Amino acid sequence: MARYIGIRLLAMIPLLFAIAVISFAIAVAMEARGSIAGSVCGEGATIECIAQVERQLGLDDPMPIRFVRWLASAATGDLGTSLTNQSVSVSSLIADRIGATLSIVAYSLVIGVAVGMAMGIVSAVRPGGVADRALSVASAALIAAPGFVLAMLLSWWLAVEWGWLSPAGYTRPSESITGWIRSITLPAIGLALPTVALVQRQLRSSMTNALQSRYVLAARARGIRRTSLIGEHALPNAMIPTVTAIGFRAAAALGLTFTVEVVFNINGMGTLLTNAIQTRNVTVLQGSMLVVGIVVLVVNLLVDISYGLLNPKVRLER
Amino acid sequence: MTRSRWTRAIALLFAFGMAATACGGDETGFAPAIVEDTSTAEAAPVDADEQRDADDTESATAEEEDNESADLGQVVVAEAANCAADLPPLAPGTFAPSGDFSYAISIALNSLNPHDDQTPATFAYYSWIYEGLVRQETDGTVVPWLARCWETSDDGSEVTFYLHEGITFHDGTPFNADAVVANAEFVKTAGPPQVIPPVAGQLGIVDTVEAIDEHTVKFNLAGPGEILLLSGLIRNSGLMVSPASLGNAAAAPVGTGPYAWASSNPDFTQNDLVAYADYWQPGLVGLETVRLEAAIDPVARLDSFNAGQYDAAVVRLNDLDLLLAGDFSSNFTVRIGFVVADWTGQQIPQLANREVRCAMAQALNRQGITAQLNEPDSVTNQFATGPPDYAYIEDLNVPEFDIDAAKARFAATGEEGFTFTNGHLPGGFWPTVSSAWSTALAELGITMQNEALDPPTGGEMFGRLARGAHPVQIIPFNEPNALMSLVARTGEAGFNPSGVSPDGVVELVAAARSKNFADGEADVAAAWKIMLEECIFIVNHTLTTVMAYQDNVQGIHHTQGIPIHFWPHGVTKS
Repeated sequence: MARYIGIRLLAMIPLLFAIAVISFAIAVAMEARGSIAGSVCGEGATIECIAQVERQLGLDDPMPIRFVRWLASAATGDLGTSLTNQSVSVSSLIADRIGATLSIVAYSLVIGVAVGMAMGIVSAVRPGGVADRALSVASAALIAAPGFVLAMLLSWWLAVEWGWLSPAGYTRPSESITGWIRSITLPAIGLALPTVALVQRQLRSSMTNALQSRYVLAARARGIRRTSLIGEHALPNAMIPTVTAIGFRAAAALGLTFTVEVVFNINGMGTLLTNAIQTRNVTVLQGSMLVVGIVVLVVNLLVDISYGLLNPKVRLER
Repeated sequence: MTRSRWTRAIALLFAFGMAATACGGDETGFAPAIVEDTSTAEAAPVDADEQRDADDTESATAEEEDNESADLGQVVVAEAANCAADLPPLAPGTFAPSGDFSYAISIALNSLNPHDDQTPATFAYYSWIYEGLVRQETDGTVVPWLARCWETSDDGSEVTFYLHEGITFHDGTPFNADAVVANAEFVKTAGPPQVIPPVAGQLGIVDTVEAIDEHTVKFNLAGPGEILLLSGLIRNSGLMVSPASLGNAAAAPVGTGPYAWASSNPDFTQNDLVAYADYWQPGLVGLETVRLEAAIDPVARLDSFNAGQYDAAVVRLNDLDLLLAGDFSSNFTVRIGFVVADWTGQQIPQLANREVRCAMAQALNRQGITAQLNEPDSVTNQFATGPPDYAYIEDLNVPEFDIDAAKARFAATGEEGFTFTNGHLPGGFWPTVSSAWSTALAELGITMQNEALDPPTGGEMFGRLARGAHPVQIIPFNEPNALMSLVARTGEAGFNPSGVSPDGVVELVAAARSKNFADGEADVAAAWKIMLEECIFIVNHTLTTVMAYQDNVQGIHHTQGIPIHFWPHGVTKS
């Protein structure tokens, strides 16, 4: 297993480099559309100011030198300073916001996977039954309707009318654990609903096949209890394709948090990225993309590791 | 594949299609939703970029002349400013703050450095921490604040401020004449990014500032210009930063205000303040802690207010019916419309003809556009919406929308159809308004090409206006002296470079360039009239900022003119 993980880690290196190149290239593309130094100098920027800032930021250096310099700094954790406020480091901006995003994404995955698995198992146990049909319709509806819209509707009752949850904003766990949970529950539900549907459908399909497989039939013939049959024999195998889907969903959820962060007034990575784009804050954009890319890689690594844990053949083959 | 499987596959594709459509539609719905907030409830648009454009649009207060004030153009100076009068003694009161206060504002800051921002709505952040020599009262008058009073020389070119004694900045530095000199010089010379040019321009009329003694400071002006100086000093340029923090106010925001900065998150979306125990009027410090929070989405902000998460929040005018708790006040009103920047016809000769411009104004369907934007409460068919001090505007003979009359009017000029470019911000209501007008103008034979500005900053918008890059440009516009200031600071190379006006607006330009706003047809009220009568500024609609507050909050008095939502002094929570 250690060798398997090591190979996976080594495979991340070229991917990381590719993410760095893409992040840098996007910044260069933004430069081509307007002066970054002009943005730094602000409204009514003078030519002198622009020249000075270009020197300060090294924007007048050749592109390869700039890339190597940026990459070397990034490797040490120095992602530069925000162009809109040079007293603030990009690292601190990301550190301030990534907690909210990861909290919501993780919580949404917990909700989505737990509810989706429960629904998928119920559907698969009696395929074509009333429960299966009802749950299939429900999951189709969840896929079709944006989750955050439903969450906003829920917000009216759960937050405004009954006051159980926070309608908007983010409370850090360091301030209040209950406040933190109250503040991320609605956005997490918004993000989780499509996951519920995805997991339900995927697990229903793979679980139905697993329950009809010969090894399950053999286990049933040996008189193994139904719960054990489902939980210990069918589910691990059925989970392999589901884990793949969850991995994709986790990566996608990172991108979709933007929508949820906007409607729930949460300052996370999504809004940081979009604000950076709007204000041409290239350093923040580069740093944020790099960090989000790394998070996605880590998620993929965890998915790969879980394959190994679920299926011994995977780790033995590699 | 069996028929059943095909059916399932098609159903799956359909479901994905629906999801994709729903998601796509929602995303496109977001930008308007965000900006809709600005268009109905904000003095300026919601994101920082869009808001900056509103900033240049106002600087002084409009207020009707009354017996207690000396009316100088549109800026009304309180009698209390007169050093010769018997000044009332200061009643400092007792320091007894109580309660935690949270305030949701619709925009975020770059920092708490007051000099790198000029956005009207963000003044609501700075006013808790910083104060100026003067400030604009809730009735619109300009009153002395950190200054006891001021005197203006007979020729109007020197203004001397007499400062209160015993005031200290939050870091313990004494507030005195040297601090005022340091601030004024810093604003004039530091440059971006510490001081953005529009803020420096607010003190454009100031030549030098000198400390006469520890508590007396004199502003030497380039010419007569008390009103222009006051117009600048009530804005960001007048906010006093501790000399120790000048150049570093983004990291260490230190002022003299009733609340001292405690902490912010790195992007200043959440800012915590604490009561300043050594405030010079301790009785006006009513709260123990204050949290100023950027809550961008209007629906979430309203929900949070209704749920009691905030003590006060900016809300949309159209959302007032959805307020479940508390009370509200409305204040700052801003007019959105088109400035015909090329009224002298330097780029488009036809624009020099007043009848052409007024025909264009007559083709602007304000009600139709407003209905299209689904903002019935913000409609102003002509200029009827707004504070009463603008009542004179309604007497002006400005044509109402009538496309047939507009076509006839344009035809009567004998001018040929022409093509020009209008600049606007890329999101929110701006494209809608521009697009609707260009469709109507096409019926007159005028082709208006709409250019969405990139980068989408209000500053760039005004920059292009100043450079004459667009013959016509849509802007938020509240008070004419903002445009006057713009003209004044861009000088010969900027706005309307010829200085020649064919339609009786010579005096407007001359007044702006001489920076003299003190009398006659050159004063700002007259300038506003000129711009409307000459169809130089064509109003489309009016926006109003509304601030909601919970029942247990007292002492909220919003201001007129300056787009601060309310002064924090004296606000308490029971």
